[in-house]
Amino acid sequence: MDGEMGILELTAVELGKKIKFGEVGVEEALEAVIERIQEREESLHCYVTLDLEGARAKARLLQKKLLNGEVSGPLAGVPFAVKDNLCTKGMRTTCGSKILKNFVPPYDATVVRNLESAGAFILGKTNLDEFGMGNTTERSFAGATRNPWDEERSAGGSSGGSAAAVASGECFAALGTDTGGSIRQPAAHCGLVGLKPTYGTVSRYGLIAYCSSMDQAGPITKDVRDCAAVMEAIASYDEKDATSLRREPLHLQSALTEGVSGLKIGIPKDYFEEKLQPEVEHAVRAAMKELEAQGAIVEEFELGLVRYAVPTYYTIACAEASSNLERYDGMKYGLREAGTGLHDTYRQTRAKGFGEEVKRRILLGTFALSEGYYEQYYLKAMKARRLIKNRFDEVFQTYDLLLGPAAPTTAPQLGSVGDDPVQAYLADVYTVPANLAGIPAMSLPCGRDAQGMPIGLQLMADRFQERTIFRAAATWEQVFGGFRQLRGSRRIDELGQLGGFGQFGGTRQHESKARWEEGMGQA
Amino acid sequence: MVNEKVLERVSRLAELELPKERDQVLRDFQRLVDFAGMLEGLQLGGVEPLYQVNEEQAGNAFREDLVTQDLDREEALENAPKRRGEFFEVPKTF
Repeated sequence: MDGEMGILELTAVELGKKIKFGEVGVEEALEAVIERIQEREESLHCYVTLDLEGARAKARLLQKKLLNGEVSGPLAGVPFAVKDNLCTKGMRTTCGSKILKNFVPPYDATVVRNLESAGAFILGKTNLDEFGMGNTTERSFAGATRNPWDEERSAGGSSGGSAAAVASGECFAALGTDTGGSIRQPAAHCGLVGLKPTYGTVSRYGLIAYCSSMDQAGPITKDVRDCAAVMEAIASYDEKDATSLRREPLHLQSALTEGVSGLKIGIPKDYFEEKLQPEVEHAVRAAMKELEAQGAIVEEFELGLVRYAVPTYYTIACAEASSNLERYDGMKYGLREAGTGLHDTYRQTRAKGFGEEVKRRILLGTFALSEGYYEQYYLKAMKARRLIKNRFDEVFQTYDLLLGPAAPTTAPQLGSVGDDPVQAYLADVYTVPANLAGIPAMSLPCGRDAQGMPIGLQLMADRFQERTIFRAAATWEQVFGGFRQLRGSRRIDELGQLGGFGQFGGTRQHESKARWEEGMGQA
Repeated sequence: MVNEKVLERVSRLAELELPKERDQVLRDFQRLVDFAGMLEGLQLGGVEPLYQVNEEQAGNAFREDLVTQDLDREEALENAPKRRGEFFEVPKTF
């Protein structure tokens, strides 16, 4: 390949195109990724398991298949990473937990199979908070993942390994899972695009269950086009998932050029509370103004119930987790810690196999479901969930799209999340409502703070309306620039002023630069 | 208000051995229960619980109950912590 731009600078779709036209070989692309892994993985720790020899064999085979015309499509030949709570046949799948540290699934998750059918291949399994329970990827048996933008910071979580791998070039795109924000928040913290689809769009078969009524897998990618391509590849009806939906083809690619003219965008005032980092607010408001300039109708409104979303979410998630995690009893797979009898073996196995946060959530969930407390806690949360969903139904009668921040702050310093679990949970305030209501939501970059850390913008639409999200996301990206421009983009300080150029020293080359800066100035 | 007795009961139900030092666990547990208790502030009279969001799909989608061979015995046993022949070996249950 010519020297204009390194292979690792390409998006997944750009790479797929170059592979298709024979400009880049599949093995060549993989070797570029492996070289990057050798440079950075030791410090970033994106992966729990890497299978480089297996990946080399797959790359060779795929190159042959491409030449014979046996595989095609935008992702054919592209190296991927997959979060380590998605089952991969023959490749260890740990969920970041000691209890599954030697578990090798005898089957593939449907999303994994779909991705491979599209001609993509998987080189490793990415790190996560144990069973997806956390938002910093520090709560993994395998150790913490670091943020490629600043290694002293968290990559976000729970899909932090996937996000860090994409952001650092240790793969071209990745799958994450999102139960309460675990795709969107790490994507925001690492300057990437992440989508949680409408509940039921992507099969949960082979996604190791945490909270079944909210778990959804989805893409973490460098840009909006990649996100559309991956989403189209992984979405499918699956009779192996009882909550899978039969949907019409998503047609996301065609949404990318439709623009936002006439779209009604609601801005929930309650997403701009005092705890929001000022730079995040400035950047998000600038994006809002830009979409308005592009023809959208923007209006602020009171969403309501936002303060109840997090306790509702945690009560339900912990209850479902306590039930889902009952299966780890040390009998058929996973760790077994011998005790004095059957029950003691269960208790010892679970005490030694689960980390502190997982135990905390199992205890709360068991409590919320137990006799005498069920009505007061679990049932109440299920009712609150209906109120929240009803409110979204109502809001989407008026608005096509909601816009706000993806997270209250940019990526926190590693180790800075204190001992109080409730404080840690509150960081999920902007993401959990979409999981409770089952609606699609995307996070995408919209600037950098004074420290140079990426800021995430969140777009939410009614169920089944992913296309509307992609219309707005692609419009914004065209103005703001993609991930390559993000590195060179200027930082925003607390007053919304633009500072000097970023640490990468790039120059922002964009037709709409002037408009963007004007937008920032107005914020 | 939850106390050590409640915590012990819950840990028994959850088959989780509690650490000897209980103070921290109890404190976190109390915080979480109080947090969940915030929902007291909502008017929930007459509201039906929402078990899953895609209700118009008439609940779960069931398929025909047919026997298929997705997993053979050997594969199913490969992750067993202990096995004897073609069986999982488990501690005495009676």
